[in-house]
Amino acid sequence: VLADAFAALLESSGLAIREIDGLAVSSFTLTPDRAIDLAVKFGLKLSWIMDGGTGGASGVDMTQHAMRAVEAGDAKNIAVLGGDVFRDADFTRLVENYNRNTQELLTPIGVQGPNPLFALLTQTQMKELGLTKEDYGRLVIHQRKMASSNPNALYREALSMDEYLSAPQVATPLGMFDCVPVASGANGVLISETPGETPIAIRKILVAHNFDQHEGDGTVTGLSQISNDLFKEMERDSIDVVALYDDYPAIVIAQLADLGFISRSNASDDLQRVLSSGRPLINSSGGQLSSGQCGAGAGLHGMVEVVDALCNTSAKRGLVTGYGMVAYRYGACANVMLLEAIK
Amino acid sequence: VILQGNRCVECNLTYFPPRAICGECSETSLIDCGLGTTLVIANTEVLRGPGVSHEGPVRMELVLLSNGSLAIRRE
Repeated sequence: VLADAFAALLESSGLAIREIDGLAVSSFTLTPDRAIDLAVKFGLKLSWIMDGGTGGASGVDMTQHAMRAVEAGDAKNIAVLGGDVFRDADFTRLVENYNRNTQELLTPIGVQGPNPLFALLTQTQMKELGLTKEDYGRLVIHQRKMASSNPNALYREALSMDEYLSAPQVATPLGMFDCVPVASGANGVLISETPGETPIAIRKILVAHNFDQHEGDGTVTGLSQISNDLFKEMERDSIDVVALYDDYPAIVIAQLADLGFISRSNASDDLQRVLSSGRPLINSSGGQLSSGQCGAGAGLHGMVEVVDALCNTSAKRGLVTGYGMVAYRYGACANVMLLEAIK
Repeated sequence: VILQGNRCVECNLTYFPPRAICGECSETSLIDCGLGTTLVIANTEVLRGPGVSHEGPVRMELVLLSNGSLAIRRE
């Protein structure tokens, strides 16, 4: 799937393979191979290389490094790829051995995968923000509507509130449509010194990993620490399209609050206002909740979504977040990027 | 239920999950210590995947430990 994404990147950019001189790769299942092994298989000659290791945050992290490499003249055209293929027990093996805390503290007590952790986080958020199951449903239904025009989405049919509420329970209060479907797939973007047909400028990238030393309840992300600086670069109200990392609806709502798109005191009403107005448009291709989470490739999902919107719609300004790497109870990584189409 | 965290031998600060370096004094000598549960914050009944198989419905809890840390435990 990484080769497919790379080939699609070459085709859409019009670049020849010999013009790619930088490669960044993020993948859980590529092991034992690394970026250099992929470079050999792709036949690339590189002056810059990177292995990304921050999962759902790896897209923004790799782009931050790649942008600096291009600015410094270390490379001219960097392919940034992320993806995974899950066969047989690959996913179970990954989630049971995700890191040492998982091996030592979660797997032994029967926590299999992140669903129970985010069920607990969602319950905590519901109490803190006064949210109901219907509030989460409105977000999932909105994203499903967005997915109807995305041929790559796993779920494309419209979803009703009744269907959402009556879906099989996974881990209370999470139902089936609250949990990102596991998928195989890959995403890719090109960071280049040469503008494309629709040039897209990276206006700002900010990172806040492990901002709370993993001592919080997970309902606030690192974005809360960097959003003020972020919007000095681009006014919040001027942003047309927003891709928020969406492994679970609670994380989308946490990020909306951290970025100031909704308030914590009136989260339900504010969420309904944002979703109904489409200002900004949230997860415009359906997000991962509709498209599926292709392992570390999910870290580039939002960037591909926003770049597509900037290139193919009237949208001019976009925001992309990354989130992930469940160190114990919730994601330890958070980052954000502002993009602007030069039209 | 006692969960195992660790304690800095220099400043006595305790951690859960265990840390490799004390965040307060940078000491690298930390020893195991037990931490009791004081409060259940939230709970969930885990019924199924997707993507993973479960042995059957199990209940998990988010609990507050005696040192103020939060932990996951099986009910």
